[in-house]
Amino acid sequence: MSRVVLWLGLGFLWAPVLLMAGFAFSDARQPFVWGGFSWRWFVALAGNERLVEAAALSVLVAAGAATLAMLAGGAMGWVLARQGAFRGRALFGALAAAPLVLPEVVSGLALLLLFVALERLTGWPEGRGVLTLLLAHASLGAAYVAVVVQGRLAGMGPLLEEAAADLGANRATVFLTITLPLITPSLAAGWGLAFLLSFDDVVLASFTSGPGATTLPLLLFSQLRMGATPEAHALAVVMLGLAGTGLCLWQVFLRRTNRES
Amino acid sequence: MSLQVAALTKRFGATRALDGLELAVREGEFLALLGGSGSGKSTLLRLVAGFEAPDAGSIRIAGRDMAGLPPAARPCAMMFQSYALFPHLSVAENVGYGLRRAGVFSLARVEELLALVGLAGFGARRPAQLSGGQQQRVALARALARKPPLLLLDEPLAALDAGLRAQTGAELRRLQRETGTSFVMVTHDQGEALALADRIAVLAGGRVAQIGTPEEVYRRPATRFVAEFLGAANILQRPGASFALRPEQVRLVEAEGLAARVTGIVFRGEGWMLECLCEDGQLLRVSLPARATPPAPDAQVMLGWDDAALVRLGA
Amino acid sequence: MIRAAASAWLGLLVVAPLVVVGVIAFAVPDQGLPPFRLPIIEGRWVGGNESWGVLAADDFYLTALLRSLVVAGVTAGLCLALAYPMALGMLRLVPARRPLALALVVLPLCIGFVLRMAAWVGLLRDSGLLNQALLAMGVISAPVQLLYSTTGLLLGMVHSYLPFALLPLYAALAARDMRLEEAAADLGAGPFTVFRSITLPGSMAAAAAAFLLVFIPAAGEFVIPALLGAPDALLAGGAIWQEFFTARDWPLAAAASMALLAALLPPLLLWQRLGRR
Repeated sequence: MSRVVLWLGLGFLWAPVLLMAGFAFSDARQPFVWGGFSWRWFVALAGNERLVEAAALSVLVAAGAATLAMLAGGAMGWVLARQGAFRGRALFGALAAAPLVLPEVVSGLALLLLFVALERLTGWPEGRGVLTLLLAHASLGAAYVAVVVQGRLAGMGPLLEEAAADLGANRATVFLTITLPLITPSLAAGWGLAFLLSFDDVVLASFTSGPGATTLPLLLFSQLRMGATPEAHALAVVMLGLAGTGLCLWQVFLRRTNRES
Repeated sequence: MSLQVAALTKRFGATRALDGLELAVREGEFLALLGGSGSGKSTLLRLVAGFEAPDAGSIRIAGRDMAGLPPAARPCAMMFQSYALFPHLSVAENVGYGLRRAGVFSLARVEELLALVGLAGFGARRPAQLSGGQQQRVALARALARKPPLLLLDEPLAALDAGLRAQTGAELRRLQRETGTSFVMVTHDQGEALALADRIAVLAGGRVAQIGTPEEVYRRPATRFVAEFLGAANILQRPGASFALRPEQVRLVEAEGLAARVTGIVFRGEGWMLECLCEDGQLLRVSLPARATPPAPDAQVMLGWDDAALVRLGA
Repeated sequence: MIRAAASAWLGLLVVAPLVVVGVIAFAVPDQGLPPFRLPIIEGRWVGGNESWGVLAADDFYLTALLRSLVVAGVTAGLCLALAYPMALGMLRLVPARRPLALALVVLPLCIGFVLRMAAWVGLLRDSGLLNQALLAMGVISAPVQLLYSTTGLLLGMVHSYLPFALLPLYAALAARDMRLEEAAADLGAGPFTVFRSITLPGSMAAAAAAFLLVFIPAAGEFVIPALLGAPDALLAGGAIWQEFFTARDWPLAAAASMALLAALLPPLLLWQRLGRR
């Protein structure tokens, strides 16, 4: 019986997506209308400067935010897993996880208010734009990275690091030669997660971004409120294709590393 | 002295893991730390290695006081129970890790160490490709790399199956002799301790209950705890004193013995272990050699022993 | 030292924003930029409570908050009702097939949140595909109001949040000890009994966690209601957005945010307690 629900559920998840993708090949000028087979909307997509620019900006912001998130979140995860008890540890842990549980509206509003207040008090940051957006996304991503890294370090136990210390490595060397190599996969996974979160985000971006820093989701969102264009269909196909290819490559990569060991 | 521990105390919350423990390990000696769980033996090892700090007392390795020194600065090396090999490094890099930290890495030395533990040519492999026994030998080679005066072993044979245990134990002993390093081995297995160690220190309640050669500790246990822990001695109460009586010292006699009924017979391979219920309610364990014919269950027997076999116990 | 740097990060990006919200919640709306005055700076304390007064007195906000909690609860319930059997179904698959199933769950997320909602807009319009299909099948005689209605909203919410309930639930169910169920079956329990007495109780904590994992963020959701929901049935997120961007009443928006946080505190604490077990 559960298998029936599984297929129904998967169907529910996929139906809108397939429909979205299907109409990318339609010749009609309105979205969700079939007008014969055509590639025109893919061509139009490639030529749509605003969309392409927004996509490029989204990629850049996401990469930057993910990198920042990886550094900050990695540090937080390490502190929580390895530094034992210290004053304020409970608060530190709660704050590190806070972005995960705060509603994005509240986070977005709070960050925007902060940026405005900072600007009034110190002159920085100047207006809302790429930097404020980057910081907002990094703040959310770091919380995810912290959870992933903390989980990995806690699950690994301090034994390997103790062994390294016993063999004569000081704390910095232990971190560089043992801890870091072992959490690299978690850091990479966290980076990927933060990237996807940033790339797809609408709420935080609407609060903390500014003129000239329109991300792809923001552009699509505003277009959607005014009535979608069929180029959105083509975009959906492109995204699906990229994601599908990425997943296949990932599987191949996994299989190859498994064969090596 | 490779190791001198004086008045060592360590508390975890309300429990005293170590309570004023005193211990001295001689150079080139193989010492077994024997005790049950909660006896403090693993805590002692971690304190000596420097992973935790004592609440009171001192630790001296090769004459130097270790107070305040981190594990990296201490001249002892540890072989962990789970081996703790670095999964992302090759066997050679694992063995040479300590050498690199000291700036004296040489492939020749690594290969020398691998040959010492019988793993010549394994340098390029990864820990995940090795069997449990091989991993342990890598851990040993890694610990011995910098010729430490003191090697701490945390239950090294516990994870191995019975057949491998004896063989590996013998190899440990051989290595200890060859390198001249002092080995301090924590174990809960009395058989290992008796077979491998120069001296055994029996730990109970955070203190050393008795320390001596295997024969000394076995034949002349100092306390009731030691007598029961090592060899499951029978304890006989006489007015004013307790006495230990080893099961193998008890014989089945025809006459003039203590009357008892056989309540349990267990075949041990190398002999039989009988449980006999005496008239006064005490249960005595009797060990018979394999060639003897055991009595039938519930049979009435007579037990006898030489008075010289009785060992007077302390507290 | 790493701790100091991490603490500075948290201080700037987590603590400071929340403090600022708290302060502004007690400010007074004003013209100009920024559109509020801080009475404290002017030497008085009174005057900051206007926002809270409005929140408490005007039914509008309370209704919006309650509506958000109800919608979030229904969404979480529906997600759980679907995700639990789906997770079980995935576990019944041959282990070699499971990565494929996981990929099928995750891939729809990859076209992006906005495009997924665009798909629903297209589906739910009066002239949209769903109505067309229902008309063609003769189930209805005139288009049903699906878009800009609670039905449409729930469809969009469940579609958006289902993977976030499914993945953790699947992970938790996969990790549980199969031997308990094997033991029960060995003792003579039929499949349904095994489920009722062993599987279900054992996964209660995971199910509750999955519920809360959807409920808490869904309570603050405002994009999906803005695109698919009824325009007169405002939710908490939308109220905050409106106050901030349309009415430019920052103090009120800040106060409403704090009210939302306060409402989410009990489920948050519950979630923490569950996580600790």
